[in-house]
Amino acid sequence: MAAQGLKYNVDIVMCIDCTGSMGDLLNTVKTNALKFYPDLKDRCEAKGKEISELRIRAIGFRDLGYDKENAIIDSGFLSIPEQEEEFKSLINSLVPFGGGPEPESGLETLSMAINSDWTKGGDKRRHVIVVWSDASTHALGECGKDNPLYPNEAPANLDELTDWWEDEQSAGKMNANAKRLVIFAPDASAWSEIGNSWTNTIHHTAKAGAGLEDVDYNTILATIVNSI
Amino acid sequence: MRQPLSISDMQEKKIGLGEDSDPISVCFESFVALGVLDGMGGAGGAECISDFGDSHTKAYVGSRIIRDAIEKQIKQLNELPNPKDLVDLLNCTILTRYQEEKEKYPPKSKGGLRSSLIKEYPTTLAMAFVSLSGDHYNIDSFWAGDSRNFIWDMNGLFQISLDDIRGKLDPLQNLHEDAPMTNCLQADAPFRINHKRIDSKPIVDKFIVLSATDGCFGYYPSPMDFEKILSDSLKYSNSLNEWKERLNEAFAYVTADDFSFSLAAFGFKDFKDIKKLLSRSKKGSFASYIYHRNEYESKVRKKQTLERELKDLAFELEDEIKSLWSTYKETYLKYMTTDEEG
Repeated sequence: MAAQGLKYNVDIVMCIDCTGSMGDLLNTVKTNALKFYPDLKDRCEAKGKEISELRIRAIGFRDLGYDKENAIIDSGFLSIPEQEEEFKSLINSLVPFGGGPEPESGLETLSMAINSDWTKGGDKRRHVIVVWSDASTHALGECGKDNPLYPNEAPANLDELTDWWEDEQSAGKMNANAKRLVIFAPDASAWSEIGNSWTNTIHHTAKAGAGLEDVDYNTILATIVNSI
Repeated sequence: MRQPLSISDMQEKKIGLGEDSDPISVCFESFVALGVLDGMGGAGGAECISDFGDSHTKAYVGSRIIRDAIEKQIKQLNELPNPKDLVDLLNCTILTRYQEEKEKYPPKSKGGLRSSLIKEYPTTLAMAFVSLSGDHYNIDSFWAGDSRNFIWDMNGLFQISLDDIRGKLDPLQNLHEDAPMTNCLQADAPFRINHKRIDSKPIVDKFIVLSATDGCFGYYPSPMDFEKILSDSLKYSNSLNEWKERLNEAFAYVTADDFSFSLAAFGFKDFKDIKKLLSRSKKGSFASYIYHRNEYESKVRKKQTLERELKDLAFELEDEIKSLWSTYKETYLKYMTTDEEG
């Protein structure tokens, strides 16, 4: 019987708010982003689950209406550890500027994350999206549609985006069993609606994970890892 | 009721961190109760203070406190209530124990976290009760979550619980899809204990009832392979205790989880009698599947042996090249190394 040594394939998409208001908080987010996947990996191994394939995609975002060509920075999926330096380099290159006044393009970025080319390999999979932001979001389609970086297939509104997340049968983009969404963002629109109503979601209601206690961080990791 | 032959065990994947409780195995004159509980590490991954200390998760604590409460309650029964009353009794026992835990160790707020994924002391439950009624056995299966109850007799292995999972996946589909659970025991939201009365069995029948967590059956390619493990481990054992050890070894080899099981054999004279009847399944389809699986595994073993041999040969060849080259090169470049260039 060859079931021993199950292959666990994990994809992580990190959406990071890089607008000016993030200021020094962006450094904390960058540190957290860089330690998130080693922590996840360690937690998996502690549970006797060795990750066979790990890919990370980092998307830095600002405001598609305000920041033009600086509105989105997208690494695409990078294989870890092979492309780890590329990932670290992109994270370290993120600096806080732009964005103008709230809200920001968080939902468009989330739609890009959901629309990722998720791994279908392995015996067990986990598709994780992590969002760090200190701001509310534009309504979808409200701002920046003329920006070439505006995602081509972005949903028309939050209901449609919700279908992308929830409805595995038709409009859905996510595997119901593999998906997890972790939001580090204030109790503001649309993060609150998502945190309250979307399945498989954990919302830490503070600006970009500020004041995140170890106990909460460990709970988040356990929620992602232990149920694989 | 003649006392059944029984075995039960629990093994943690990581010592001290296991979320399965010890199994339940209670044998009375008038009934037998088997059960397993699997604390849900994803939903109950938050650490909490409890009688077990302050470094265990709510999943760890939940399965254990509910297991102890249920076992204590069952041991106080003079006779087995009817299934509906038994569900009520289990519900009441579980809710009371959860309430006690929350009063003794008031839960901290969920901090800044908001999520329906996070539950209080979440655990699965699978319990089977076998009682004597005149010249028949009644078998009642109770469950919440994805731990399972089974009957195993000369006609094969039969699942007598249905996982509480999203979608209508059958047991094979769910091995690969791993669907989210829709119901489990928990302290902060309603739950449902399902019940199924299995057609009564004549007292002359010989059969096994088994409760098991997904660490036992959830890591095989198919439900048939789970039956194969039960059969094979039985076939090569010479005592009940050896069978238990073989089952433990087999489950530990394939699983990535803690596992626990509780099993009781009814109507058999002794272990040899169980072995005689159950070490070969009578299901024709099962036998055909096992034939194909054995063929496949035999070829996989041959391939692995061949791959090992090829690897060894490649190393030998590499060594041979190095060894030969040291003598070969002495003359090989003789026209090029004798004089200085130009």
